[in-house]
Amino acid sequence: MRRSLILGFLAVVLLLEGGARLLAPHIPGQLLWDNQFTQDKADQIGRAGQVDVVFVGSSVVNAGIDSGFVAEKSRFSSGYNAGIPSTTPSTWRAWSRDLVWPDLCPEVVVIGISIRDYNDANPGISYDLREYLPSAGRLGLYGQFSWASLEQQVGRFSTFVRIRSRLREPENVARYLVWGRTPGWPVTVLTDGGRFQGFDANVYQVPTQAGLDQLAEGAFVDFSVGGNEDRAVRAMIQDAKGLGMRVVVVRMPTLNEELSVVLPDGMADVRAFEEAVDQLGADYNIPVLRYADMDDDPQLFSDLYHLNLFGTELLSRRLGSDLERFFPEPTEHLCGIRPAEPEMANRP
Amino acid sequence: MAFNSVQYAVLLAVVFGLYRLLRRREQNLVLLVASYVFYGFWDWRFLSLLWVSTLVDFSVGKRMGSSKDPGARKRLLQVSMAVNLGILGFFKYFGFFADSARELLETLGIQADFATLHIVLPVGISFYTFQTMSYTIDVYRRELEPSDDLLSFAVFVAFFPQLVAGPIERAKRLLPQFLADRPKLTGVDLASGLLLIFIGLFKKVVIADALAPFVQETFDAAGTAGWMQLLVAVYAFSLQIYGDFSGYSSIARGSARLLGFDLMVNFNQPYLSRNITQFWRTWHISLSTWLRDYLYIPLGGSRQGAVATQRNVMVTMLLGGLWHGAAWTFVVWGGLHGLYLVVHRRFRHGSDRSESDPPRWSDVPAVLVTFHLVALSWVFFRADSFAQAWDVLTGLATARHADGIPYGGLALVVPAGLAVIFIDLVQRRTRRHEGLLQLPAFAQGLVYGAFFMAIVLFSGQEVVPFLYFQF
Repeated sequence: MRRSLILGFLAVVLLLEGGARLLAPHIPGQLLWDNQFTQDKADQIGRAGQVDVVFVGSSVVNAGIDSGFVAEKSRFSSGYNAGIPSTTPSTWRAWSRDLVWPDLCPEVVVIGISIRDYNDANPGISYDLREYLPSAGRLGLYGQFSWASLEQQVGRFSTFVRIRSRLREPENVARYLVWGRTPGWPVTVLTDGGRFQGFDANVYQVPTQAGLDQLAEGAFVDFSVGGNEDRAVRAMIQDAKGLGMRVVVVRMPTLNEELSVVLPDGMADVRAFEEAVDQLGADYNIPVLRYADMDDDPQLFSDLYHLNLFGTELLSRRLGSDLERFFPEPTEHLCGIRPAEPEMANRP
Repeated sequence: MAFNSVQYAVLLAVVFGLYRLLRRREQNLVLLVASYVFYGFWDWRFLSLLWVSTLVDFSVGKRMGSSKDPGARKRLLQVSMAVNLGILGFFKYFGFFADSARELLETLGIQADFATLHIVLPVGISFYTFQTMSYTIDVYRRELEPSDDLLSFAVFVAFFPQLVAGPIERAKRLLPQFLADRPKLTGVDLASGLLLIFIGLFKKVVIADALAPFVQETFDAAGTAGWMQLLVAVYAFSLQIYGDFSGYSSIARGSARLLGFDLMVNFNQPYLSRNITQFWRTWHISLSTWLRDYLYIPLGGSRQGAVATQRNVMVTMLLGGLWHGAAWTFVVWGGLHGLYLVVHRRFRHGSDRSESDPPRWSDVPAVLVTFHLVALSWVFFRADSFAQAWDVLTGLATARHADGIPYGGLALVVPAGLAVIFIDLVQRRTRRHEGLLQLPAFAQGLVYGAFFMAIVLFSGQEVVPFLYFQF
């Protein structure tokens, strides 16, 4: 009786484990970070080694700065674009302390800021830090427990356990097996330098009224600067300077005139943002670069914020020239220092 | 502390380990401490409410037992009702009635500015309040001798396996079990207790929690989702709430059995019901029988003619709906079921088959109709607002354009549905909730293996609280 029961039990367990082992090479591995994009970037950073310059920001930076073009105009031959989409400075700071500073150990840090990133009253992207902070990949850097890290441990013996987060989505498994891709597991196309190329070929289309309304009700339902996001940028500057890195802030080009339509106080909000960014330069004695002549030129843009390939090339070359001008000589800085504990900051 | 947490596993293991070494009184003491730890894990401040209910009803019961004056006994009962319903009313319904009154006055053009209190709802308050009220009512009716053992009574009120989501036990059934020595744990008890916990975990983790994100996502987008997505989401929620609540009850019964207690059956394969009356005899049985005994029958039950019976059914179901949550959507859910029951009473014809008889192929149409009526009512139960419920229903009724077949939802709903049907059919055919134990050994091994791997597959995600904790 007991023997038959155990045999039946083992038959199912072994069958499913065997099935998982057959399947595993044909589907993506376990997701350790909060999304595939961050996962891919973390993987790239892990392989990259030390670089001369890093670019930190949201998708505006990730799409808008190409380290290859920067290198053409400067002595900074290696660079990595560490921008991650749908995030704000609170997340950039944690991401930088966790991975970017310790692993890439750049001589120069370029922080690119757009008006959308800096808006404390933007409810649309307020989830980003909450998603990022408890991600298993991050906690694993500090040796902290997460189910995913336990999965990895058990996964050394059981493929079923290792890929179970994928197996929970049978629809995506089936699509992936048949077509080699699935909308549920988006694939990010990054350059070796970490830049997302998704906006490159886009030609600017004037947004519809519905699109503008959506923006007004989403990202700009209200607008304020000088709160959490400003504090996060300041903390990030201090962190980097504390490690001997040089810091540059770039006010990223945007289509301000069209954006002002959806801002609660129009161009007054744009000016408040610009003043806040300028203040960073004054307070920390760092260069604040703005390429105002690129603002409001729709030929350079994919949408209201993101540059297309023309814009990216132009901005990156000009940025390279400016970096060369500001920092003609290399300097010593600290490498490989990760804080002892992860910062579990909470956005109010 | 949720049943599907590591903390609960540790608590149960510690209590179970200690338990075997102790005598009855010490066992009750361990149970009481464990129950307070279990409840205090959620919010220790609300232990005071448990203590108030315990002390008031214990004292009321004792005084009632020693009094022969009918007037005094009635007044004592009223004290118990006032305290218990007062606590329930304040914590659960104050905000609801204040908001409803304000909205009504504003509709009439009167500006009302009530002070708004942000009252935290103590978990499981509706369950333990009803359970302890059953004690004083039964003592008042002289159906139960009052307890003079405060420790046993306190454990009866706070018994952790069923404290926060039932089954709502009757004092005359559960209290004597605390007063008597525990039966010796046999191998059969151990196997059946563990199996009930195992089935409960499977229903919670694999069925309810796996479906929850899809249901949430679809209801959040109720205004734009296509009809196929909405339909699958309604099925998904029907399975989710059944898996969640019956899973909880199963874990509660299994845990109690390991400790030597027999809790009542709370679900008896409700989705195999051939009509709505059968559904209510098999769904949340401890609540439906409580409402029957302490509300429907005192209202007159079916003894005062057809119209009064229909009124009593409607009143009972409306209040039953309100018991679930302080929102008009729950009242509508209850009202809808009341309407179903009234219509069914009007047109039903006698049958000599019990609701616990295994279904036949010829029952399939009636089972499907009953299931869909129930599923329709779940729309109001699940919706955050009437607007959301309306969006779901109009999307379904107008066959709102669908982008395509929702394969993602179907890939979860179909296996979950098949698993529910399998478990329910085995239980119905064997007439035992531990019916899997009657399968051939190899088949049992296959089933346990499949359940185990499914739990491994879906466990470790964000812990989704049991839906009925909020009630």
